Amino acid sequence: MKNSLLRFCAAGAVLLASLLTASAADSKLIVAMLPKSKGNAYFISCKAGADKAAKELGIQLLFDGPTDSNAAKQNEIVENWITLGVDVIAVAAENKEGISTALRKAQKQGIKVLTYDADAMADARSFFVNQATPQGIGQTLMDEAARLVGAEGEFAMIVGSLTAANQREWQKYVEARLKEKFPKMKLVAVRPCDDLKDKAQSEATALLSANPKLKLIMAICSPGVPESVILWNTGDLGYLTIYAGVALAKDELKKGAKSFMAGSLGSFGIEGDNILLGKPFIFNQGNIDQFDF
Amino acid sequence: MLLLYVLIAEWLFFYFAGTSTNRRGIIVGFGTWDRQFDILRHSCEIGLLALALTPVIITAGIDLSVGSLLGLCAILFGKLWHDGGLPIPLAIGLTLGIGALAGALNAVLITALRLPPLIVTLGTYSLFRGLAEAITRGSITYTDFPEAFLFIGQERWLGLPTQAWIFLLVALAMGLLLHRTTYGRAFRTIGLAPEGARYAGLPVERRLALVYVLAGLIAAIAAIIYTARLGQAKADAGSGYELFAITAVVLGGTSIFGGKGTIPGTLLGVAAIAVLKNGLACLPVVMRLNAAEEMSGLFTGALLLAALTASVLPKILSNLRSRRHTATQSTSTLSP
Repeated sequence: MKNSLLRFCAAGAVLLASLLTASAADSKLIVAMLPKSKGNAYFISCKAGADKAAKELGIQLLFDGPTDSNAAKQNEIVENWITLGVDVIAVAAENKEGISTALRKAQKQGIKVLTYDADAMADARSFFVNQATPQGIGQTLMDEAARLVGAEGEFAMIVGSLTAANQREWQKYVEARLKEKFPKMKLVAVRPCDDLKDKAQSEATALLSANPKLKLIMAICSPGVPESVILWNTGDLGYLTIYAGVALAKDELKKGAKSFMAGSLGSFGIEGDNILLGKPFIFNQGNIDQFDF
Repeated sequence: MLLLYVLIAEWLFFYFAGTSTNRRGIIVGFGTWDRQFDILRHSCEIGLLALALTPVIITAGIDLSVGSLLGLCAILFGKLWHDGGLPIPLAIGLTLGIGALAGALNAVLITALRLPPLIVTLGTYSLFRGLAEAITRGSITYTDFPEAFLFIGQERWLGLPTQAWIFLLVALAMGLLLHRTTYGRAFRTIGLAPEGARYAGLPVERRLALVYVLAGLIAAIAAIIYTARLGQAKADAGSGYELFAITAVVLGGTSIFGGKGTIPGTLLGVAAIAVLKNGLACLPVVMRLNAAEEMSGLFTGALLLAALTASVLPKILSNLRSRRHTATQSTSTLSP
């Protein structure tokens, strides 16, 4: 009886499996895109741009990531893609060093690797699609904040997470700009929101009650609740990333290139191994409705 | 035994549905050695926690703090090495000691104060994670560990992922403890009838303390392996792992009410969950939906519920049958 049960299970499994594989034959180039967290509106709009590029180029796009910003899960997903034999992996790194071990392993297997939004170690990827230089972001953020409050008073920052390397970099340039240009303003606190909307709101409330003289909160994580934010066009970031990934896989994009053509968006400059998306873009109540976050 | 069949069916299913040839003509997906080694590699930490929890649950206890303790130990190991400047072997040794000590804290609260394990470890679950976050202020991540240390988590030794050897060694030790010594029998007796065990002259408190100290020690081993696998120690290490571990233990046939359970069963439970999770990620359908993470949660839950139902089904059926049997008997005596 036990043997027949075993045989039944095995036969069932094999039958089911053959039904499923029948539709799986696909010889398209596969680009796998890893966001920091996949439910985040920022990365959802990145995906919209990536989907558009994938359709234009006729490739298969995999878009998967942790549901929270979890560095360990990012590694597991990349390792999964390595054994699935994808052609290109594009990563927004939650933890620079941690993810790099997995990315080096992918490169060893002949998979092309690039990063976007947040970079990994330079030797673990071919190119970084850089949304804007940290210096540009930091300066624009600080200038915009000063403009809103008339260049004096206390302010606080809410960042995505205190570990994300790119945001620490921005914070550094915000502080540098503050020191240099706006002596009457004071940064009183920096709090993380872990890319969660409710945490961002509770941190904002806590900041307001702890610092009654607070005039402005600078939220540089996507779920923040800002009056005016500076960002870049996230859809374009996704679009450009996919175009760069496919060009890399087809050997059309090589080290030392000075510029790069990305479909309907036209040409982008390359500095070293950074593909530059462009200058920061100021969103405010006037133009925010043109974008679908 | 049922679980073994489920595991075989699961494996065969993913072997046929999750393996394909990619654009470059290379066989990819579930049916590759790389994937099988990845499954083993990914199941070591949760597997270790499941091994730690098996004796705990056999004594009718529970330890919810092991995942948080993994995080705390990972951070402390990183700190001892990076900030304390200790050599790696010494840092590992101290971390294991700290793990055992943290387990001892659970043990004291449970045995000396006679507090329920669920409440005690719910407290230390928050305490350990909170400590890890406080020590790093939520922001420090320890990285740049030496190659020789990363070897434990990322390379292979004698054909298998290095950490698999540690996992197998701990599994063997726990198997011997549970099935070949009087300790194992004591755990089961305590789980079945703690008062009876006490009257029989068993040192109930000391045996209970042992299972929680062991759980802490094994959580620390898992922390070392986790850190070596990812090359980083961060305060969120191992969050949620305790629930996967408990699922594996219960799936493996250990009774949540205590008194019953085996190490081979737990190993099967761990394998069933790991194969399911990794296999789902290889299915073209799941890939197209980009929902490997969600699907694995969904199916792990379904598998657990199905296994639990299947384990009580024979009993219910036989109860029904005997009731019908007595019913027909009584009518037959009436009819002639």
